[in-house]
Amino acid sequence: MKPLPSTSSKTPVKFRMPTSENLVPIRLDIEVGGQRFKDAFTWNISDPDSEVSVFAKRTQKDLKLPLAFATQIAQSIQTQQTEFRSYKGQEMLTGEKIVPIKLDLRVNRTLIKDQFLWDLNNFDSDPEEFSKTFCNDLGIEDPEVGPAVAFAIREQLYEIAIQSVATARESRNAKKGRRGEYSSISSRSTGAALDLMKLFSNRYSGVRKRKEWDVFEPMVDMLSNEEVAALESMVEKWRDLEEA
Amino acid sequence: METTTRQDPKAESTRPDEPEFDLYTIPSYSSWFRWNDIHETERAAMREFFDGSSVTRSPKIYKEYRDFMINRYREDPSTRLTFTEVRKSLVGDVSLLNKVFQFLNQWGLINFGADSARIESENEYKDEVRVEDGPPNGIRVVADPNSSKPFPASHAGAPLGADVRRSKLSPLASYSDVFGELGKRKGILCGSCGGNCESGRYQHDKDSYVLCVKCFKDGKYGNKSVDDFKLHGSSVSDGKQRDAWTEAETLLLLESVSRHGDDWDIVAQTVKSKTKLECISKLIELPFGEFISSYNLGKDPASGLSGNGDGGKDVFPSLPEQQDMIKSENVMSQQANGNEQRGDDADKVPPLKKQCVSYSSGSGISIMRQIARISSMVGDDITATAAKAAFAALCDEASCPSDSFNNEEDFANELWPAMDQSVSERWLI
Repeated sequence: MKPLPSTSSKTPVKFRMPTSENLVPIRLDIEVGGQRFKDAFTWNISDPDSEVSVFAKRTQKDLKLPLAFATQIAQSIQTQQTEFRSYKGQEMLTGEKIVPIKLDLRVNRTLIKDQFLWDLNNFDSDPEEFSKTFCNDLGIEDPEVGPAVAFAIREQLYEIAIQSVATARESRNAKKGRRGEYSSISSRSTGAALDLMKLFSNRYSGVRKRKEWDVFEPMVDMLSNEEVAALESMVEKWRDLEEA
Repeated sequence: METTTRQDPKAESTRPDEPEFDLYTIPSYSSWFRWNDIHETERAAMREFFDGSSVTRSPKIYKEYRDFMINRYREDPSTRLTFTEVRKSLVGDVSLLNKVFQFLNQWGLINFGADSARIESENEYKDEVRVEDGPPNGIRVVADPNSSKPFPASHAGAPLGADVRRSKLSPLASYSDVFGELGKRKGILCGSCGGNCESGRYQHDKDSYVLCVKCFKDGKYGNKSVDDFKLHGSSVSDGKQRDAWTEAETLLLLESVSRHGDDWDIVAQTVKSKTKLECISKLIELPFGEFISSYNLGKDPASGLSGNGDGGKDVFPSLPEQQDMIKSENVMSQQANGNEQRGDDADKVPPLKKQCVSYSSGSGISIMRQIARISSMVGDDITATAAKAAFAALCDEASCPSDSFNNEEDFANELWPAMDQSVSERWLI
């Protein structure tokens, strides 16, 4: 295989989260008999000490949820873990990937909107560290915001990682099957490099055009209690509409 | 506003900023910095810009990031520049940008004169980390808060007084390296005798002076008046401080857990002086703690016991026979069972993780009584060893009883011939 220049390297890498800790983002949204339980956290599946059933039972007990939740929680976690594991051993294309990460979340009374770039090739990256700086710099006091931000980042990284597995598979098949497709692959890779150039589009500068600064600036808003209540009831009604 | 001529940044670090001049202060150790160049220090710290590994990282781009951040900071040198402020203006991976930011921060090229009176100052402490040898100045490390003996550092040569810095602890000495021994002695220490105040203490109203129950009774008030002291059970009112667990509390905990299993509200009520959280943590710390609570969830169907309400008597005759049971982490029963079967020397602990506790740890039977019953089934010395081992584990948390235990070598042999109620109660002393 012709060695491609490093700028468009597509050396495949075994699937993993492009962060320093290979954690699975787990999202729970369980409804049993009218009661809804939502949660989001990260799980370390290579930790032998963490047992899903124990955690599920503990959660159910601590939050005084009806018994049925324990099994559902455990199931949901296990499903997501299995899905994560199914990617293990597969290859993903990272190549030159600096991806935009968008934050658009509400944690209790804090609203956050933000956008920034993340390097998928940086396996030392740390969403929790970023989130900590984020909260410190913006003076966010609610301790639940930090983990939520880190989780949101991880979730997006996870999805992108999954996509890149699919891309890797595609390109592998393409290479094996149809030689003629080779040109399209190489163009895709150079296309990626071009995208990056566009990113640094301000005369290939590291400094962004001023008018774009607002887009990439974090916006943090605090809602009042009434606004939160109104928002939540609106979400509820929307959900009901969708399910009806 | 005067022209923004950037003076030679090699200004001495001791000279304060004079507003008339556009003089920017940076520390002398950063005197290598040049606007029109990239120094070796920078290259070494941020290789990813200089190894050509990516089109997004080049010396030019590094310089842009750096110059932008420094200029941005210098627009208002008295205000601390945050990473979040700059990253919106720069294109690139945020982790990488943060790396540059932290680099400049640590070298004082930004935020050197900035106000550091922010609450989240842990960031700044992090930025100005210098590795220190030993504890910080002004702190004297002693073995015991009431003695003036300096803590014997790992190289046993710490001189008295504030010079403990030269205690030759390695720069990366962890908390447990220095304070490992002290860590064992949790809990509040009496101001008079220096012992653990377990079962209660007398707290002085006006300051933080504490007396254990014994010293209070003995009248050792120091130079304080007796009226100022208020009795505190080992209650949780002290915020984050956790009192040590007395044996009485531990026994209450074990009994109540074996009776009520996982219902921590009730357990915490029974052990009145500890919160739910403390009960849970304590139980986990005990060697067989998890087993006791999980046993009650009925996880062991093969044992043939329902563990509720039966007098232990019905169960015990089957003790020797139940070889092939699943899981037991109970040291006592392991040894009792195994030794009985194999007739081993009582001191060898057989790795019988598969042997089961086949006696009922269910309702109505305290741990003490169960031990009494076991000992009536198996030999005294076996039970003694078993009890010793279990007790040693418990003693880890409370140092007082271990003293009496260790001092009396023949304790086990003399007092165990017949396990009756009075003997089992002696354990509590």
